[in-house]
Amino acid sequence: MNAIDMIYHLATSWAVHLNYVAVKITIIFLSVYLITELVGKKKEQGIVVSILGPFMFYLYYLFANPTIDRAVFTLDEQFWFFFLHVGFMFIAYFMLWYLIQKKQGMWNSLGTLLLSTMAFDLLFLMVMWRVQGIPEDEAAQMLTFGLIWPPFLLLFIAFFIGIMLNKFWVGSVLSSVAMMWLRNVGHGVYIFIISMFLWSVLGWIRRET
Amino acid sequence: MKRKTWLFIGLLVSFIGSFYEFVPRTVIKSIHPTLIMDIIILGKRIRQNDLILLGTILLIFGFVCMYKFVKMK
Repeated sequence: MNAIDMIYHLATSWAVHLNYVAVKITIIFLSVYLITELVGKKKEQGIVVSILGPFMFYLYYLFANPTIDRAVFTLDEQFWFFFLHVGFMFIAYFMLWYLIQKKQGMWNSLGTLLLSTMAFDLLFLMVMWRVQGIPEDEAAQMLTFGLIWPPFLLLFIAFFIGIMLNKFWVGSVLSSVAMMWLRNVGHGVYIFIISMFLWSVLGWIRRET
Repeated sequence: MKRKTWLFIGLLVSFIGSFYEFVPRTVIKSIHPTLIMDIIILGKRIRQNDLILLGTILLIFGFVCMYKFVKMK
């Protein structure tokens, strides 16, 4: 969900700020985890989760003190974004739900792995810039759609090949090489580890259900 | 857990969550200064937005408990 959200915001020139991404991830994760763990994993819970998570972080935006300059960072805090976030959450939840419950799809697998890997990739970038001491407004200028669509495309191709061959490690290796070429060796290794980890988790979830 | 336990926990957690989410900091401080948790954890001071996040998390938990209560018929 966060990947869809970040990609959309970058494509439409809204700011993606690490602190708010962290808040969103926390709220979304807790909403999904608590409802699926304590109540259930059916379609009804998917609809409830899709509304609860975005509503709760709209509530957070409403009552939290603005700590960053809104002239530099145009954040998604208007009420209409709630409906957009509900849509993103709906897509994310049911993409995974259909994959696990109904065992459908190559495209669901591809979408889940691709978006999850992109989310980790963007988080990695933002955290690295924060650790390197790059000022927040400078980091916000650096994180643009132009920075993310090439790796998105290459990851899509790499994972597609891996899934079609039914050897996902091939996709992970290709994606790793692509990221080494686009960014640096460390980033490529990180993507390899993340993609293999996500693939293993997905496989484990499917076996357990 | 029994159905009533979920309701009790849900109401309690929702109450505490609402308190930190909706009540202004100055009002919380006037009730009792320790409630604003003006402490340092891992070198970082607890700020107002941290309390808002705590309130949000508690409200999520409260909602889930009440949802569980409703589903346990």
